[in-house]
Amino acid sequence: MIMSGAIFCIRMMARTNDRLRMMIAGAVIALPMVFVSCIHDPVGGGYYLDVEKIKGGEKPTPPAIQTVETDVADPLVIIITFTSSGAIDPDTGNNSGLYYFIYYLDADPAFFEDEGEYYNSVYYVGYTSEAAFNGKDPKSVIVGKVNPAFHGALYFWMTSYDGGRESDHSNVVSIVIP
Amino acid sequence: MIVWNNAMKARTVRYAASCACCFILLAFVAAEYAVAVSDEKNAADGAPREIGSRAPKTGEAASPLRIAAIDFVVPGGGALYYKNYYYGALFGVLKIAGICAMYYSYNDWRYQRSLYFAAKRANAELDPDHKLRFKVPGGGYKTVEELHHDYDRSAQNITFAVLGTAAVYAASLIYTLYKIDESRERSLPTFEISYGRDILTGTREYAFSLGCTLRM
Repeated sequence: MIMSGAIFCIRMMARTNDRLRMMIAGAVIALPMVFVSCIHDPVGGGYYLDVEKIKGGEKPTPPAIQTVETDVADPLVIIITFTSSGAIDPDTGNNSGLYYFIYYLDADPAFFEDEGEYYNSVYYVGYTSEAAFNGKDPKSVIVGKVNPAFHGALYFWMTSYDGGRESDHSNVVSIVIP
Repeated sequence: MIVWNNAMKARTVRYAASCACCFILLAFVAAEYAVAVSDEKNAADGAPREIGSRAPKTGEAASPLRIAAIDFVVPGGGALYYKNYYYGALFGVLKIAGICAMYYSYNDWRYQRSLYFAAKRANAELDPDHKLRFKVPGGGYKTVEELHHDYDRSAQNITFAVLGTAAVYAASLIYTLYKIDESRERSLPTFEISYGRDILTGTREYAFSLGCTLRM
C-alpha cells in the first residue's frame, strides 16, 4: 500500500511543472529535518544527581546567631549579632561571596511539621552580605523596628546563600518584646 | 541577554508552524474569495456564461474507497488524483507538517518527562528541604515545579498536534469526497438512500420499503 502510494506520488510529481515540483520536494524534505533537528533524547533517572548540574553546586554552611537584642537608644529596634566564620561555600572554600538571609516568626519554629518551612519566604525579613562587612566578625545588623502594639516572643534564624543554593538554617534565637 | 534555550526553540518552532498554517489558510481563503468576487463581477457585467461540454465522461470510474485510501496514505493524494496540484501540495505539506509535529511533540514530551523525573529524584535525594535549580540542557536553570510545568505543556502540545493533524486530514478527506461527487454528478450517485410506501386497498395491505445503495 505504501509502495503504491509512493509510486502514485512520484507519478503525480512528474506531471507537475518544475517550480511546483521543487516547492513540494523542498517542503517534504525540509519539514521533517526541521522537526527532527529539535528533538532531544530522554535523560536517565540519575542525570541530576551530579551537583555540577545544580545551580550553586555544593550547599554552603550556615552562620551562627550569637545574640538578638533591642537597641539601647530605641527599644523597638532589633539588632542581630552573628558570626559567619563557620559559613563556608564548599565550591570556593571561603565565605566572601555569601549572602545571609534572616527569617523570623512570632511562634517557636520547632513546631514546624515540615523542615522546609524554615525557608519559606513568608518568614523572610531581609538579607545582608559578607562583602558589606569587609571581613569583620562577629557582625551586627539591624533587622527592623517592632510595631509598638506587639508584645511577645520573636524567633529569629538565618541561612547563607551562595547565589544558587541556600544552607540549612542556623540556630534559632528568640527575644521577648515586653 | 536573551538565553536561547530549548524551551524558546520549541516555542519558536510552534509559533512559526502556527504562523505558516495561518498564512496558508488565509491565502487559501483569499484566493477563494477572489474567485467568488470575480464570478459575481462577471455575472453582474452580463458576461456570457461559459458553456462546457455536456458529453458523458468516459473512462474507468473512480472507487471512493480507493481514492480515500490514497488520500490517507499519500499526503495530498486525493487532490493530486484529480490533478489539482495546488490543493495537493497544500494538503501534502500540511499533513507532513502535522505528522512531524506529532512526532516532535511526542519526543519532546518524553524528553521533558525524563528531565522532570530526574530533577524530582535529585531534589528529594540531595536536599529535600530546598527548591534546587537544575541546569537545563541548552541553557538556564529550572526548579522541579518549572520542569513539571514544561512537562505538562509538552503533553498539551501532543493534544494540539493530534487535533491539528486530524483537522487537516478531515479537510483533505472532505475535499476529496467533494471532488468524487463532483466527478460523478452526471453518473449514478455514489451513495443513495431510497424510501417508498404504498397502500394496497384491495388486500388492505400497507407496504413500506427503505433501501440504501453504495457504489464502490
